[in-house]
Amino acid sequence: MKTAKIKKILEKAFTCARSFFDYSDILYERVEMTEAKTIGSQTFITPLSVKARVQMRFLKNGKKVSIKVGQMEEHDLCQAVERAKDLWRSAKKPRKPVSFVPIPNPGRRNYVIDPFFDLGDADPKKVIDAVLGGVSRVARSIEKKYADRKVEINPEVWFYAQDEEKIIADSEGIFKRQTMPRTFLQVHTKIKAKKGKSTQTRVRIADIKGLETLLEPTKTGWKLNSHSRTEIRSWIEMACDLLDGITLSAEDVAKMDHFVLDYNTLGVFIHEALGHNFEADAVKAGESGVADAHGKPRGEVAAHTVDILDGPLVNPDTRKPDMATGFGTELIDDEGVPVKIKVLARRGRVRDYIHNRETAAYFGAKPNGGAYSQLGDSQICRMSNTYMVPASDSIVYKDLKTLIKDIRYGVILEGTLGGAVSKDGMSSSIQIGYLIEDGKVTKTVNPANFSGKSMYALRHVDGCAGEIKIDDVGFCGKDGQHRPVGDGGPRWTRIKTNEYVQLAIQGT
Amino acid sequence: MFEAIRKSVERIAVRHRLDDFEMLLSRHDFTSFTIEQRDLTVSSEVGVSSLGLRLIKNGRLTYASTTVMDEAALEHVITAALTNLQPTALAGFSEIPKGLSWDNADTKISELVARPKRLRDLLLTTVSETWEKGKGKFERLNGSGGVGLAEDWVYTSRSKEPSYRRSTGFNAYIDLDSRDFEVLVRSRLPKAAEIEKLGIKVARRLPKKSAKPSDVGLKGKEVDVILHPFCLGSLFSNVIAEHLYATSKLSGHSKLKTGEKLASSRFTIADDGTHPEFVSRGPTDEEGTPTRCNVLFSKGVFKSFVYDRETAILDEVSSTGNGMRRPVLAEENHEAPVRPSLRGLVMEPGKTKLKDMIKGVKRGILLKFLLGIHTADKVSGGFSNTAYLSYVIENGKLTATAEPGTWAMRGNALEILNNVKDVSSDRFLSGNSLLPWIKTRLYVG
Repeated sequence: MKTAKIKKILEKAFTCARSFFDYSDILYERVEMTEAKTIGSQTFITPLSVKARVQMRFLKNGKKVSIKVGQMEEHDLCQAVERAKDLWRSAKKPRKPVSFVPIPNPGRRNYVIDPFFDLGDADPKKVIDAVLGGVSRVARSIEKKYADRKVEINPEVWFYAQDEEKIIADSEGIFKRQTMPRTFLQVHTKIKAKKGKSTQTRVRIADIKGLETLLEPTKTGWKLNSHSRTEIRSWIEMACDLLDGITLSAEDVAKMDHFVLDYNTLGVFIHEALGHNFEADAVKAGESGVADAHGKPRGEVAAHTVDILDGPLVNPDTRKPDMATGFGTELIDDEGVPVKIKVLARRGRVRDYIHNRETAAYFGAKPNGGAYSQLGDSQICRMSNTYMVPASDSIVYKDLKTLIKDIRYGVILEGTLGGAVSKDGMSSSIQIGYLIEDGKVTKTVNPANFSGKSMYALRHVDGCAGEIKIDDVGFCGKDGQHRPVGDGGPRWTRIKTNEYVQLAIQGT
Repeated sequence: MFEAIRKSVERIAVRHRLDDFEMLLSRHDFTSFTIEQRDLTVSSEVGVSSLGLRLIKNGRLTYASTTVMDEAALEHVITAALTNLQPTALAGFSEIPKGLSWDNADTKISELVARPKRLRDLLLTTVSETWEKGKGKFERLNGSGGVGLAEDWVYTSRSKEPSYRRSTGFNAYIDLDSRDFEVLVRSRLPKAAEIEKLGIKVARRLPKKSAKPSDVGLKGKEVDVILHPFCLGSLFSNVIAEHLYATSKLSGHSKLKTGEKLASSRFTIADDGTHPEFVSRGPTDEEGTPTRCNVLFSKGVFKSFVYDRETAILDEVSSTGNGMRRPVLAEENHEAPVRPSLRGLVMEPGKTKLKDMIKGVKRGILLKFLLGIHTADKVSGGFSNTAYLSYVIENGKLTATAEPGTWAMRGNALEILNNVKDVSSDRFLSGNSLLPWIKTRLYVG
C-alpha cells in the first residue's frame, strides 16, 4: 500500500477519534516473508507470506483503550474508533491516570536499514535451494566423518528472510516510518547412532541484515557463506560428541567450584534471570524480582565487576551504538521512540528500566525505545539485545585456557534451547557441557538445565574472556507475543558456584 | 467473508491452472480486561483475520498465506507460491463431507465481546472479594479476563461446501504475588459465582512461607511428586507428543511402538477433538478430515500414532483427523505447516481423591509447572527444569510454596509414563484438556 494512501486512511481515523478522545495513535505493521521448513522427511515452503495489522490506542481523562484491527482500511479503522468509544465507557478509571510521554525527535520521519543483498532482488527458489542444499551437504560430510559409528544425521531447517515496514502516527501529527530486513536460520539436528542412542543440538544464525546474513552469491545463484557453514558444522559435530556424553549426579555437581558459560548460555541466563525483571511494565505490576512496584531496587543484581545492558552493541571504533547488527535491534521502537542503549545495571546496581511511553510517564523517566508489539498487538516493554560486559579489567582473562586453568572441578556449558522466567527465579537449558578437572577439559557432559534466583544469579561472576557477542538469537515470548531478540556477553564467563545457582544434568 | 475470499481464490486458481487448492480462513473478535494491581485496563481485537493456503499444481505442493484480504494480495502470494513447488505424497486435497457446520457459540459470550460491561463488573467483584477475604495472605493481585468469538472455515476446491466452526471462549486468570494462580477457561460463560470465587480459591491455599529443597532435606534426593494437570499436560504436549506424531515414526525417532505396553496400566489417555467442553472443538481438522476421538494409550498399551493426510499416505493408513497447522515456534497458525498435531487430551481418572493423594505423601512436591519445559530434550524425553508455582508437601500437607529457582527437577517424560504410582479421581478442565493429577517420582537436583 502506498504511503500517501496510508496517510489518507490514518487522517480519516484520527478525525473520527479527535471528536471524542484527547489523544490517539496508530501503529501499522507489515511483513513480507519467504520461508522454508524441513521436518522429518517433509519440506514445507512458503515462497511469500504477507501479513499486516494495526494497533490503535486512545486516551481520554486518564483512561486508555487499545484495539487491534485486522485490515488497514478506512472503514475498519473508523469502526474501531466507534468500538473504542464504547469500550472507554466500560473502562474503569485507574487509581493513577494513564498518560504517555511525548515522542522524542518528532520531526524525523524515515528510518531505514538497507540490506546488502535484498530478498526482493533474489529468486526465492534459488535462495531456498542454497540454504537447504547447503545444510544437507554439511550434514552428509559429517556422516562420512563419523562413518565408523554409523550415525544418521537428520537436520531440520527453519529459514526465513523478510522485509519489515512499520508506520507510527498520532493525532498530534507524528508520522514515522521504518523499513528493515531480518534473516533467520535454525538448524535443529537429531542424531541416531548404531546402538540406538539419540542426541540433538540446535544452532541459530540471524541478523537484521539481508541475505548476506547466511549466503554469498555464486555465478549461478547462492551458497552458504563460510560463517554459516562453520557454525552449522560445529553444532552438528557437537551432537555427535554428545553420543559420548556422561551424566553427573547432584553430588558431583555439588563438588564443583565453577561453571564456565559460553555467550549463548550466559545470554539466555541474563535475558531470563535479569532482563525480564527490568521491563518497566513488570516493575509497575509488582512482578519484577529486582525492584518493587514503585521502581525501588530490591538490592544488587550482579557482581560489582559487570554491567548489564540492553540494546545494540557499542561500536568500538566510533563509540556509538552499532545500529546495523543484533537480531533484536531496530532504529525506533513500535511507539516511534528512537532506540537507546539501556544501562540496566552498572557495577551490579540497578540503574534503569526498559520503558514504553506509558511506563516512562508513570515512573517519571525518559522514554528509551523499549516498546514493541507483535503485528497489531499492544506495545509492551520488551528487551532487544540483552548482554553483560565486564566493568573492570580485573576479571578479564586472556583466553579460555587461562580462564579455566585454576578450576579444580567444574564444567563448561555451551549453547541453549531457550529458557523461561518467573518473578524470582529462572531456568535456561544447556545443550552440551565439558567437564573440567584440574584446569583441563576431560569429558563431554549431557544436556542440562541451569536455574537460579534472579537477584543472586550473577553476583558470583569472577572472570571472563573473549570478545562481546550478542549472536544468541531467539524469540522472546511475553503476554502471548513473540519478538526477535538477541543476547550474550563475553565469549566465556566464569561463575563461582553458589547456593542460588542450580545445575541439573540429564541422565543417559 | 468466506464467500468473497473463496471466489477470489477460485478465480486466481483458474488463471494459474491449479490442480487443487485448500484454504483455512479464520476471523475473530476478542475483548479483555487486564488486571494490574487491582486496576482494570480494557483492550479489544476487531475483525482479525488470516488465510492459509495450500496449492497443488502438476502434482506438486506449495504454501501461501496472508492477513490482507483483498484480491491483489491473494494474487501476489499465490503467484509467488507457484515459483517453488515441492514433491508431495498428496494426490489432492480432501473432499469435505457436506453438513459439517458447527455453531458452538454461546450467545452470552458473543454479546459480551461487543458490550463488556458485565464482564468488567464480574472481574471487579472477583478482585474485591479476593482482596477482602484474602486479606493478609497476599500483597498483590494481577490477572485478566477475556471473551472471544471466532469463525473458521476449511475448504478445498473438491468440496461442495466448507467445514465451518463458530465458537466462543471465556478465560479468567487471577495471580497472587506471582506465587500461585487459578485459571478458568470455558467455551460457554461460567456461572458468576465460579468467576467471582476464582481468586479466593488461591488465597485460601496459599501458605505464608516458601522453602528450598535443603530446608526440607530433599536436595539431591528422589522424591514423591504429584504432577498437577498443567504439568502433566505440558510434559505431554512438549515432549511425549513428539513421539506420538507420525512424522517421528516415519523418521525413526519415535520411541513408541503400537501394541506394546509402554506405560503404567493406570494410564489411559485419548486425543479427543470432539469433546463438547473443549474450546478448540471443531467438525474437521484443518485439512477437512472429520474430527474423531483417538485412544493413544489404553491401560498402558500404546494404541495409535496421530496422522495427517500426507503422513497417513506415507504410512499406508488413514488420517486420524489430526492435520493441523502447527507452528515450529513463533509463526502464526495460518503460516504454519500442516502436520500431525494433538487436538485435546482426555485422560481417564483414577480412584484416589486428590486430597487423599496429598495426604499420602510424607515429603515431596506438588508440581504445577516446570519452568522452560519447552526446552526439554524431545528426542530422549529427558528434562531437568526448575519447579514453578509449586507446593512443598510435608506429612500430607501443603506447607510452603517451592522457592523460585531452587527446585531443579530431573526426570524423563517417557519414563514417567511407566512410573505412574497413582491417578486422582479429580480432573481439571483447562479449555483444551481434561486431565487428572498423577503421582510419580523425580530427582531434585
